[in-house]
Amino acid sequence: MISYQSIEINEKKSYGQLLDSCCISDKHIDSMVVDFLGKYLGDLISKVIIEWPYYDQDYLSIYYIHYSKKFKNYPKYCYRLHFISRRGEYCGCTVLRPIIIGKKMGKTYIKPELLLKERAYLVRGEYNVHIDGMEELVDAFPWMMQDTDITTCAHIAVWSVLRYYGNRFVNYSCPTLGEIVENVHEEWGRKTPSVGLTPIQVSEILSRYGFYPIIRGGNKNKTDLLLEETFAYIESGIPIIAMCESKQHAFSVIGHGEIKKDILDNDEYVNKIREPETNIILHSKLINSIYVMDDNCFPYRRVDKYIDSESDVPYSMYEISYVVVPLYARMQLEYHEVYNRFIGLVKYGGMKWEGTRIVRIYLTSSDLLKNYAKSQGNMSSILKNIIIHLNMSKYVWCIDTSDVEEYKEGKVSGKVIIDATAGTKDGEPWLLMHDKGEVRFYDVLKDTNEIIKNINIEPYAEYAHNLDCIEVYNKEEMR
Amino acid sequence: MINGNEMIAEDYDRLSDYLLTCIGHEKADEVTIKSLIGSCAEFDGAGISKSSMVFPNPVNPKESVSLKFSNVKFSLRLAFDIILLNPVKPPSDKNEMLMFMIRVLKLAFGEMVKILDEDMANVLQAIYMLSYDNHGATMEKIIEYCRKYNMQAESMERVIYNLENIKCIELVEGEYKLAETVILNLKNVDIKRGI
Repeated sequence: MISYQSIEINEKKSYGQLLDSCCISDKHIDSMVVDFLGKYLGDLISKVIIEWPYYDQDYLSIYYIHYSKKFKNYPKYCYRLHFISRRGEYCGCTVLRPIIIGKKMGKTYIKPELLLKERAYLVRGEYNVHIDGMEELVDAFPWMMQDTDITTCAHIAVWSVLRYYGNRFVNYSCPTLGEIVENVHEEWGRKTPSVGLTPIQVSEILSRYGFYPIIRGGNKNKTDLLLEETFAYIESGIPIIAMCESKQHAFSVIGHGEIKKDILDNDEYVNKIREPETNIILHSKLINSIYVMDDNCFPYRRVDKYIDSESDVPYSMYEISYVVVPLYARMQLEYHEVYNRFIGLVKYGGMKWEGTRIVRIYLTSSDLLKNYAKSQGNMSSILKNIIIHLNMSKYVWCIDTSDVEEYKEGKVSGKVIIDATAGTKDGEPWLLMHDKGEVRFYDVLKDTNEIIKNINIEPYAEYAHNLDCIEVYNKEEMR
Repeated sequence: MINGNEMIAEDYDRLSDYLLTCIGHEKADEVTIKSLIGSCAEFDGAGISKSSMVFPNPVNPKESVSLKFSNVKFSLRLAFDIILLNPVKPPSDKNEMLMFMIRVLKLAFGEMVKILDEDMANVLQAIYMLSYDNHGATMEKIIEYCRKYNMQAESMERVIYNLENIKCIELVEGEYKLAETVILNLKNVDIKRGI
């Protein structure tokens, strides 16, 4: 029979109760679990519910291909811990597996609000958790520790991204950890125990599950270009897998930190980050941190451009050597093509975008873009009408451009929409572009470019549908 | 791995430990240093040394110095981006990191730069901050920038001459720019702390 046992949490030390033999078998828990929970959740949690037995699909998938073949006896069942906040809200759960010490935390869904120290912009999905006959929903990103035997950091990074897509979109499957291990193409011998994955192997696994991945990186002289491109895909709501050669480590990147708009008041800094011939500043230059799911650390760790002993993790963004981006089939035009075309457009295209402008480049679906346009009360009715009724490809690249003051207010006064299925040699991939006085768009049925001039387009709110803006919980209210 | 007069580093941790042992880091954060090395160092053809080059010895002009390069490339411009292009960290932290990097260059180029120290840091910082929009920094602008460090024009010219010799900066159409990468020669010599 499934049992549910509660323990009250009054302070960090309360988590020590989990180590009592009457609560959880010592095969399933160790002091690292207790330390992690005490350190990161602390007294924001009022109660932990212990569910036993729990048959975890991911643990069973590696049990049958690996642990069942070992001489030592490994149980099939797990424990699952559920966390309830002081406000009585369900905050998430974690699975405890009977494996090596220090790696017992399995599949975990936990609300990021509990763990963030500042505002963040993250990718999240909604996960159903059934507990004691009830269904709870958790907005989270999947996380677990590697078991070090059959899976490594790269396997976990791939698993977390595939689990996110499989849960959120019906046309993607939800492979277990064991299925991912079995799908690794290994030319140099056996798959278990694993010695890690290369970027190419990661890309191959993603391909097997319906993605059209790209690999970027491998040149330290172009680290800043790599980070610019990484930010564009993060801004598109696409979780990516990053690999760090100096630390021999991989993790998934799921969002970014605060946008430092006050940097724009520092002329010396602005001069260094501005694109020389067009006065453009990429929005990504104003962001100093990303958020990652690192199997060595608790979920939602912040990775800064410049780190020190106080940082969440022992590596900086600049140490990222490669990224593998899981694109869809219809996302054919790549970031650097979009950027280069846009620079050409700014120089020679005739749009009146004047002065220093901040530019944000991202992918989105045309449906979501039209929904956004429809909801914009401040958008010019002419522009709104065109966007809503324009024939577009399923996915489009968008480039939002604002002057400094508009950007600080979260507004946009120029936009370019590009067909994401356009080829790299396609000279005219534009679907729409506008400045404050003119709109140009491509009518696919007539195969002509149309222009509407002498209109007044006031700045309107920026598009913000790809990432969830997550505010920090008021910790005093939580207590 | 140490082979004769050459230090051939093959992994980031060992390189970091070697540099921290030889140089010391006083107030700079060790985690920051290791991250900087992890971001900017690259091992090109591990175990294979590059060909030697000959430089005039600035201390004794009648002599020349023959240096055999090891296989560590260091992205100098990226290092400056990481250290200086950060609006959050206080100037004192940035200065500590800048001085650590200067000491790495001094370790790598030995006698070539033993007469240089803070002057080298000031001039490199000036060139980095004055370079933007595809332009480098003219000598006049560098002199004006470095006046706040009380540097004399003559010493600045000497510093620039030596920085060009060790390929940290280059002159392009009358303007100085920071080199993208430098090759570090990490020789197995009797290095004392706090060079």
